[in-house]
Amino acid sequence: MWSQYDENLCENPFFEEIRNNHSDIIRRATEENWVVCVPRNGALETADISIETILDHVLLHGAGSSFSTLSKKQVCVKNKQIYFDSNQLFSNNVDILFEETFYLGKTSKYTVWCIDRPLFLRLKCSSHSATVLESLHDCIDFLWVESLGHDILDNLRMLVDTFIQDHQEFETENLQCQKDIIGNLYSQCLQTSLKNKTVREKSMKNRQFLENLKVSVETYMQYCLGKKLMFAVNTLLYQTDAVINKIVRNSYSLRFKDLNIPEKFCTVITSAKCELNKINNYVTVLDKMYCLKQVFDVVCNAGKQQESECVTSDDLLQILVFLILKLNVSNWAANLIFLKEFRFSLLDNTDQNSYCLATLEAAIEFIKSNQFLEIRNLAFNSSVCSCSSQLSIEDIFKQVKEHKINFESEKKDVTLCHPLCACDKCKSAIQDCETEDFTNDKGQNLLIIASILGNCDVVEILLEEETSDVNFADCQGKTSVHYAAQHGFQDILLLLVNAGANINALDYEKNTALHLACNSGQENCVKAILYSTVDAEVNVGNFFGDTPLHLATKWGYLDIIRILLENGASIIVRNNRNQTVLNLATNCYVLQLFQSFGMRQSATICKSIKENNPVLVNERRASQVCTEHGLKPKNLDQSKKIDLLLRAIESNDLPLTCFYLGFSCNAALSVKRSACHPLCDCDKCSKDDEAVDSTTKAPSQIIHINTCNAEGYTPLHIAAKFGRTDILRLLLDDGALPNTQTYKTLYTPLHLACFYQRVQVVRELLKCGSCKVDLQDTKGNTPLFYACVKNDVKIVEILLANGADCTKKNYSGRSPLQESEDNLQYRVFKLMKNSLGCVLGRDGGQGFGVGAGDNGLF
Amino acid sequence: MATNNGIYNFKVVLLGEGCVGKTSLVLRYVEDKFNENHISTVQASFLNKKINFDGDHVNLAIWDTAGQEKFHALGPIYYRSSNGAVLVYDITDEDSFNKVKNWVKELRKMLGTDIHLAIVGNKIDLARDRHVTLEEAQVYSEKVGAMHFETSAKLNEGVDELFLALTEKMVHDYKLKTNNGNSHRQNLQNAVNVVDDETSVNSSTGSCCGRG
Repeated sequence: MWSQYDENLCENPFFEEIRNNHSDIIRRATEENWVVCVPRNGALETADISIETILDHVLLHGAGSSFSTLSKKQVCVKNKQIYFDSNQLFSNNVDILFEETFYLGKTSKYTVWCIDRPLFLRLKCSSHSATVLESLHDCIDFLWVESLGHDILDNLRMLVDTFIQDHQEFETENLQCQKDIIGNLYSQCLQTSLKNKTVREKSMKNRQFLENLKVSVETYMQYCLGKKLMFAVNTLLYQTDAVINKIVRNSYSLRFKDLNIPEKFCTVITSAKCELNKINNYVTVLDKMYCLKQVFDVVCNAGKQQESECVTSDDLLQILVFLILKLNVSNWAANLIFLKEFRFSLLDNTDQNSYCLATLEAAIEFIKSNQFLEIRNLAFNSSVCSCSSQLSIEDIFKQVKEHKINFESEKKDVTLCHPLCACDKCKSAIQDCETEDFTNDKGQNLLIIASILGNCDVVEILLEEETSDVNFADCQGKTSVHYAAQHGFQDILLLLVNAGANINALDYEKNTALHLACNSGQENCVKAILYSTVDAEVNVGNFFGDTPLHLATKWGYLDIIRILLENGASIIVRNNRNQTVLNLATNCYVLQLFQSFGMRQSATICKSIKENNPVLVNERRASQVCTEHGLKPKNLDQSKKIDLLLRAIESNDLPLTCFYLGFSCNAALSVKRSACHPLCDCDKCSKDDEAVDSTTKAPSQIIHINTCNAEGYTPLHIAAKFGRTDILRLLLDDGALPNTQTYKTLYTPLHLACFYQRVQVVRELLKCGSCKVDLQDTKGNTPLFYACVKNDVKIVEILLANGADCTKKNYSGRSPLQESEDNLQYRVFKLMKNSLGCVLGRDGGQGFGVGAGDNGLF
Repeated sequence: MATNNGIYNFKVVLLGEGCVGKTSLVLRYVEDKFNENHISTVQASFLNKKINFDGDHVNLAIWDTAGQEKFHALGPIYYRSSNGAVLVYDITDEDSFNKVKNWVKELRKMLGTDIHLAIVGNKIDLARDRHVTLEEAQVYSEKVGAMHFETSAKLNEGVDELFLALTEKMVHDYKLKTNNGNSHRQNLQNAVNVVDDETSVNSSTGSCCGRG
């Protein structure tokens, strides 16, 4: 593709000179197909135009790609560049900017190449290459260099800043209104920059300069507006984008060949994907456009490898469709409108940019069209039905319907006439056998296949017969519940739930059915899951830490988000990238929803503690807690709950933690009891508690505060491990035992706090009084030992101040003191030695052989 | 589409069935035989050609359209606001000529008379197998107000003439319109949008480019 540079050659002094004074050259050029090279306007000083330079710039065709000039110099042309030998060291090639054909009458014509700089002439410092602005970087450079300073940039930023303050909520306006507002800002920006004297003079003289100025002012303005502008456009088009996202998410199984893309493009798909994935990293039209063009270039280069093949519009369109399907970009419609409508600086709609845009638009339209739906369904069915058996799925289903009675009676052992017999009798026997425990190459049994294909009748029969396990998982760990939810088959989902399928089953990416339903925008299934079951987990994270709410937010399914929030989805859970749903929200309506629900949520939680809290505190007191380990969960339900609670603590979700434990964040303050002292256990106080107890009923859903999970971790352990100081304080205040140990490793919370260097946690734990400092884990290590290993001076100091014993040996016979000495941890060692000195001093100064270590360290 | 400092920017779309040779036609025109070796672009989807005649400086943006049947509904996205259309058929293939007739109907319906049509019978090097007669095509073209040409991309016959004539007509028409004072009549982008309503809002903000 040609460079974007353009100029009117008729106004070029060099070309004017040839046309006016050397008409013989023009005449010969038409007759003998000479090519006239014209250096772009401004690249050649008028004084340099002589007959010699003109002769240097007329090319005669030689063999192949070689040319000779009228002055008998040899050049060769490759890749839109002219190569020649000259006495210059570096730049022996000149870009051809564009080609223009001049007609003299109907049939006679000659060709002109506009070139970046003169051939065979020493490069002048002034003539830098033609400026075509392609990125934000170019634009900032341009504004900086051309105005000789950063005044314009500063002024523009100030304008935009005031604009942002004045227009806090313009994202809910309609498109025309938004365009007017931004267009207005743009003309203000342009006027401001034209106040600069140098810039004004240059733009009066040179049209190209003015165009560049416009582009760079606009681009810089959009850059200053940042994400705000895109956010507004996202808000505008959230519905369209949700529709597109739903289609795209449901087309995950579409492959390269399903779209009939020629094989030769296989190799470039990955790099094209990388390019296009960057589109949301940019906030300006220019950069996004450049990104899109890069994709086209990458694709076109693929065609280059094979000779005589060319890339057509069909190819580009299909590849773009494929890329859109495979990328995680959630706002294609918004991007398209942004590119189309928010470019004020260039009104030409015939350039290559608009072609790229048209292709993008066509790709998006195609994805929305019925033709695409057909292709998708076709591909989908064929992918499911690719089974190892010689039977087609339809046949098997038919059999299932017909032979439903036979299921129970027939035995699995089939006696054939001989092992390879194929007579009718044996065949049908084999078929029956196959139907029963049939799986395809993905390890999917009949129930799963029927759920994928949405064959409700077959699912019903299979469930009635009870021949197959409802929770059978295929090679991806997905059960039929997953598939029914993912593909939006509400009726099947309800059947499965009714048959006792586990709604919280996880696939190998730790997705529940709710995750998949939210990802593919199946609102009916989300409803089915949440309304028909009581124990569906709403806030569980998948492999990437995403909760269903994360996924629904990412793809902008507003209705699903609302349903999730109504059913207790938390907006504070963070995924593995440390994002809450608030970070993922791309449009204004989602944010509004979060705000209104966030308020309501915390209100209900507060309300629930006010009712329940005294009871809970009392219950906790009264129950006998095992001193060594945490409480074992009473049933399966509780063990699930404790896992969720621990996860909530891990992600520092205070409200959710409170919710699971059944009290609020400020529980300790809100409950005022007239106890003798905070930890009093005297008869009077406990009676008071019981009185409260009898009036209110204890909710069965609440988890006991010292409950532990399968490995013996209590909430306190987790809070200590991850340094969740607020939650830790809350737990301690409400009677969490500080000395519980995990099952195998025998860690106390203090061990974990020291190992993970949570200074604040160590302080809090030791403050509570009953915490034992020198408990040993399975290896015999004390918390102090771990603090020494980590060389954490602060923690060592705190531990020692609380009476930790630095000479207590672990089971391999090493004490913290020795450990720090051997590792040359001077400060830790000194601290311990000092404390030892104090102790020894108190005890009467018995000699202790640490002097050698002392010397060694100095 | 508009003039810009004496430069005319025109958009020309290529329409026609898959194997009628529209790609080779445009490649022949833009990358003509003098430089097919050294200035080779392999992509034929968007091509630019600058020509200059009688002092008129014309920028032709030649757009290939997605021609597969499944993409048929997307046509308007490609051809809207174009100034000219080159409708190619294969003279050895009656069907491709019927396709052209359909395209003509559609274009006239969507863009009215603002678009200049050139109906082109390609592959005259295979005239032995001709199935569409010259007369039939000429009569039809005249009826619908289109120009008619017969070309051979392979032998480079008639290609140059075709585009030159089309360009001349577009320039002529444009000058006529501007002389009548309706300088912006050509802005058809808003009238033919078939995609969604939101995108078709008039771009009145174009007036904001302050000059000087």
